[in-house]
Amino acid sequence: MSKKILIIEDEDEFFFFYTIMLEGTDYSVNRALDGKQAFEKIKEDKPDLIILDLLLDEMTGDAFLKQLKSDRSYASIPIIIASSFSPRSYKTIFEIDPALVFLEKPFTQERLLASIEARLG
Amino acid sequence: MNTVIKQILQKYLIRQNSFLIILRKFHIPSYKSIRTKIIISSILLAVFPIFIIRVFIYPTEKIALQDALIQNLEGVGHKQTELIVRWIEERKADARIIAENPNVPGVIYKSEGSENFYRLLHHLNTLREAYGYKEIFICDRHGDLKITTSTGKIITNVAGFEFFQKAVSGITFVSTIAPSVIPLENEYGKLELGLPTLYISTPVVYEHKVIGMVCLRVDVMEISKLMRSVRLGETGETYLINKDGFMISESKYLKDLKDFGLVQQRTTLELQVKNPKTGKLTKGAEECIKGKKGHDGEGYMDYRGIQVLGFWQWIPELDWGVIAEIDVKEGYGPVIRLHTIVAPIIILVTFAVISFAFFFGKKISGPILYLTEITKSISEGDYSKRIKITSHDEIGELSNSFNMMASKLEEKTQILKDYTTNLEKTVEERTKDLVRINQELEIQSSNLEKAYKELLTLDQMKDKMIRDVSHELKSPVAQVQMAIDLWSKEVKKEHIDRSKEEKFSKIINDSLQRLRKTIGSILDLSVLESGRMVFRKEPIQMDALVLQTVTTMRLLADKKGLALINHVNQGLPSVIGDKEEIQRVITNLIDNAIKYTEKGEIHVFLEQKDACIEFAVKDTGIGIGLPKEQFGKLFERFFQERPRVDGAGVGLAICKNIIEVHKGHLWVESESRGKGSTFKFTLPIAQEGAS
Repeated sequence: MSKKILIIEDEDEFFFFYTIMLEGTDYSVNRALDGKQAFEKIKEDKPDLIILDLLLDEMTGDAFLKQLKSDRSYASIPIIIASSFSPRSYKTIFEIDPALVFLEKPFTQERLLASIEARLG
Repeated sequence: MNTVIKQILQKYLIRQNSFLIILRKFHIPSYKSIRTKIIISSILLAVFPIFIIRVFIYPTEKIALQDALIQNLEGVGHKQTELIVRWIEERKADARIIAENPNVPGVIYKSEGSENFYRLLHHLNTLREAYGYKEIFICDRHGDLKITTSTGKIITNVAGFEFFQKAVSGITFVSTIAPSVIPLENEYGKLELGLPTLYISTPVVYEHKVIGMVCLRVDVMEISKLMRSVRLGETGETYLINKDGFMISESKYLKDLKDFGLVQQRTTLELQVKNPKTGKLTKGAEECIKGKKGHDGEGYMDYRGIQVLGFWQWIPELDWGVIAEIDVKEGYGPVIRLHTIVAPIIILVTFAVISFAFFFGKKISGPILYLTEITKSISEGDYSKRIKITSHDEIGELSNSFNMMASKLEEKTQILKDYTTNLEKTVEERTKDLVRINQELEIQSSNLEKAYKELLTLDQMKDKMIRDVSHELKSPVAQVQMAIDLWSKEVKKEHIDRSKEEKFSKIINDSLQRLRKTIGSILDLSVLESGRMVFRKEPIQMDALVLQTVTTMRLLADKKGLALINHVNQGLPSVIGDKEEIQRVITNLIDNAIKYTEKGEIHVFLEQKDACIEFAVKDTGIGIGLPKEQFGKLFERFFQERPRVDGAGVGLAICKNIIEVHKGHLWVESESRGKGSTFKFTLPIAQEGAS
């Protein structure tokens, strides 16, 4: 059974890149435009992995992470942060989840797949 | 034993309590007070000698007086006895002398009428008168009367009488005082049967033989006279009693006794010396007839019913008793008188002493009480009180010292009070200062906090702005990079997906456009803000310009299905400025309206308002998600309410800069989020003559 990945990304261009990069893999991809939508989707169908763009309109990446980690049923979902910024700008998010993987944009297909595999094992 | 002591103590305590209650009731100060002490001491001092006199001296003196009285009575008694005995002896001697008269035997032997007889009778009458005898008579040895001085009724033979028998037996005899058997002349010159009579008889001896008897009938009144010859005060008397307790002398109180009906004629043989109350013989009489000699210094009731002091002595040779009595009242008269005199004096002195003690106690305790009162006032805080005692004694001195002390106390207290007041004032002032300083500090602190918060906010805003701008710059770069990267991979594949090529090409183009626009805007703003920007100054027909711009923008609005409605007033005065830049502002504002409105209408207004032309774009869009006081932030550079949509966030900052350079004003009006917003700007109408 294919692993479910929820991608939270508001820019169509980047989502397009994700779909191209994950083409031909065993992962099934779902998209949420913002944090609020993401929770709805998580409740609907719990994903195996979440890729999160930190600049979100309705809910900041920090707030989203905190809420997710506070919910027992979803706290264990592995997270990959994808951002145009360097991880140095987001020191606080590692305090919320030390295990998360940071993926700086632009990233290559290899990097994405490696990161996903690293998180899903 | 203990219970007895307890009872006594209880009684004492109860008494003391009632004493205290009495003290309180009569407003007498407690016996612990100086006044009471003085009063009690004075009373004790005054009463003590009186007590001593009354308890010790008075009884001693009474005993001494009693002794003296008794001695006096005894002396009188003895003297009377002696007198009586001597008198009787004299009478006896008289009788004997008569018996020895040489005429007597002749008279006894011879009958009446002889010479001897008359000579003797004469002699006897002379004797009788000289010595006060009632009768002198001579009998022969048979008792037959031979001669008598009596002229009245006589007894012719006395052989039956004791005095005859005793005399013929050779004894000179004194009879008892007995009632006469024949009527005799009494002291009132009347014949009386049973008149008290006393006979003294002696034998007549002739040639060693008793041939007869000489008898003297003695006037008992002579004895009474004799008894009265020794005076015994006012009430004192001496009387004789016989062995039956009858008085055989005349009482001093005969008249009173007669008046009371106790005796008829006389007391002799009529009055038995009895206590009228008990009916028994008086103590003196009773003791006397027992043959005793004695006295009573305490007093007993005599035959009159009056308390008397008495002395009694029995004369055995006469069988008579001598009693000397004096009224207690008289005997103890000096003592009683002394008592009567002394008692009121004592009472007066006591009263005087008590009054003096009260007065003196008050005088001494008064100032002390007054001092105490003033001291109390001072202790209660009234330091103005002074003692007004001007005496030159210790109290006066104490008052002076006290006043000095009070003055110093008042002075010191005033100083302390002043100091305290000053201190309070100072403390109050300092407190006020402190409060003020504290308030200032609080305000400063609050200001500082506010400033710090503002700074923090500014800092956070700066961070956010940088992030937003850098995202705006980095994101298209990343997109281009990734698009090229993926396309490179795609072209290496055997079957190239041409649809992807178009997509990647579009992404690259759009990204580059976006990048160019952002960089251009940033540069424009920097130039504008540097002031190096050169604006043209030309008259602008705003209505024409707005209409032109609206027409251009309508295509974009139509594309989004929005109605762009024109409300431009024609023929408005022109303004001075850079037409291109003003159009840029109008375009930007309408573009924003289209961008933030999903459906509905966009209204464009242009009208004259006073000396200005006012432009307004009203949309039905999402409105502004900021509180009204923060609307200004919209016009700050790099501010992005919604980062993805807003672009670099410099558009409104540029607009504001341009309008302000044109001496106009740019602002926004919005009720709340979701209710649309109206962006307005004004430009001053060109002055006539200006180019």
